[in-house]
Amino acid sequence: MNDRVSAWSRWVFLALPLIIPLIVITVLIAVTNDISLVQRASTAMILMVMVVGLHIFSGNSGVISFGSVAFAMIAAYTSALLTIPVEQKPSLFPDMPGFLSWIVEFSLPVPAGIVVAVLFTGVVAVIVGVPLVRLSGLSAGIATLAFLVVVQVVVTKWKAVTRGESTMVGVPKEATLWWALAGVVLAIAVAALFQVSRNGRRLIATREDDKASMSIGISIPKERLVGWTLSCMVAATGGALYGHYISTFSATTFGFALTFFIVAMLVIGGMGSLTGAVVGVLVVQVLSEFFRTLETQGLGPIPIIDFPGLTEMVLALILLIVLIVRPSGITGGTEVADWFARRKSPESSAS
Amino acid sequence: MVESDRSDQLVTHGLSVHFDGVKAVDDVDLEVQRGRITGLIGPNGAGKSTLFNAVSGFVPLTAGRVVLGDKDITGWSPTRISQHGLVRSFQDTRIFKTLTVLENVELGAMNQGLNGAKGRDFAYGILELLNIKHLALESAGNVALGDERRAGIARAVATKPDMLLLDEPAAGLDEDETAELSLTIVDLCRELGCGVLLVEHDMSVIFGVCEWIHVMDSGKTIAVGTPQEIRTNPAVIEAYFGKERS
Repeated sequence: MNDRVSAWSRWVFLALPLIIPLIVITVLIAVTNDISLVQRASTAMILMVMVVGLHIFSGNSGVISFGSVAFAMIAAYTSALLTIPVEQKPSLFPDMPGFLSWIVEFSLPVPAGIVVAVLFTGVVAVIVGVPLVRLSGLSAGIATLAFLVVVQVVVTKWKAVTRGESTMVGVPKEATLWWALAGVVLAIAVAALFQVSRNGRRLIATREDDKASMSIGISIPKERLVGWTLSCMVAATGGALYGHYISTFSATTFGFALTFFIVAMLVIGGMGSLTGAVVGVLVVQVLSEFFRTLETQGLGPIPIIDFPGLTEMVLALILLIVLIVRPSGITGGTEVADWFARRKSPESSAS
Repeated sequence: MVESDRSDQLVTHGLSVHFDGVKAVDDVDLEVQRGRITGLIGPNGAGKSTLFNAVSGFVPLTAGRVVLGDKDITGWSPTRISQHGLVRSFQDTRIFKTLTVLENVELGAMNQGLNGAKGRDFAYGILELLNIKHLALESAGNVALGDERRAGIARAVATKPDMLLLDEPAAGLDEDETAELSLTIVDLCRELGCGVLLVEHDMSVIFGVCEWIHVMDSGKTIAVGTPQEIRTNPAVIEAYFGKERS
């Protein structure tokens, strides 16, 4: 590799080793025509969009956030409100407040609804982010968790707009396996681009050493805000896609259970790398499916294990083991490109 | 940065830093001129590191002012101070270990708006100046201590500072490495036209490269002068060797 590696080639080495296998796996799953497998793969890839979104901020800044699911929820509800067919809206939202009555009068195509929802969520992310990015460690974790609780309460109580505790119905079910693939390819491409960009590298520097980064003129709040906003917008893409994939959802769909899964996936895979985000989703999803099958159907000679919450308990156990034994996750914070570089280096030194 | 915009001097007026009643730095007037290497010495606990941290914005002042060129930078954040041309290195290097040596230096170059190919070329130039160009693509966490110190200095230098504050750059280096580093510091000051404030325990470095020396003891200034004046100053000799020896 030429020692003057351009940002473009770094992006290629970072993103393509993740994107190409995902495309191949998706095509293979699609040709099987196994509906159950297609459903599981679609869900996994949509979750991957959210995990990659979380990685953009938490992975590059080292500041943990429990709030990314809140942004996924905001986008899912926003896109739903914009895309539910006009003829269904009056009956679904009879008490829509006057200042939002325009929402009942039109309906956007789903792709447009997702784009608008993601942009709107981006604006919310900036507003929330300005005070949040000044926090670190435990304070940041608690503040982001508090934001998730606030959004959940608002969604649950604001019946006129969100249907409250009732399920959101009538949402066009247009997202497919291919939409999920497109979402994850976009998420990885954006995350890789950010990682090799000026802002991304500055944010990584703040993760490595805050004092040293300040000493060379890096503004920590500014770099965190850029990463935070992008991170929330990618998570929002995942949320909007999820809404149009499952088509009926409520505030509990985007609650603590999903937050736990997303954070566990990133930590188990390795928070410090984009590869870790992708690997974490694959590992956790395969394990979850394995234990869910055990819980509900048994597996071959193994009988049904009638133990409610078995999957979550096993996941929590794995999370604990990873945190104790290998805090940097399965990938140890490295990227696929680094693995290739390491394998190549003995040859280059020999020559 | 236009040459005329560059700050010609760093001055502190009556700078004091007190911690819980302890006067770590007490009423210190310091002057660092651009194009000159100024040494800051003193026995352990003299207040050198606190003064260093206060000037670079990492520790709040109890009293006094810090002026860089024509700007009063008292109370500014470390980020803002470094963006205005006063940049420091760290005794424990604080290198970004998961990044390459080149990426560390490129981050410094970004401070003066140099990005992409321009930033990379500039960073390579700095690495060459510090004799570590061959380590450009090494992970910064894997290089030897001497090279790590050079990489830390290179990162600071890449910001093209008016005033460069070096915190014990020779700590942990052997005699040859220290001698080589001393020459490098002189080269840097000349090439970049910046002022250097050098905190160092190794007197061979201080007396070898500094044109002006500021001596502190128990938080106060006890002497200021040329290396020759400092060598023979009774207060300095007493601070270092005790009353009997003096």
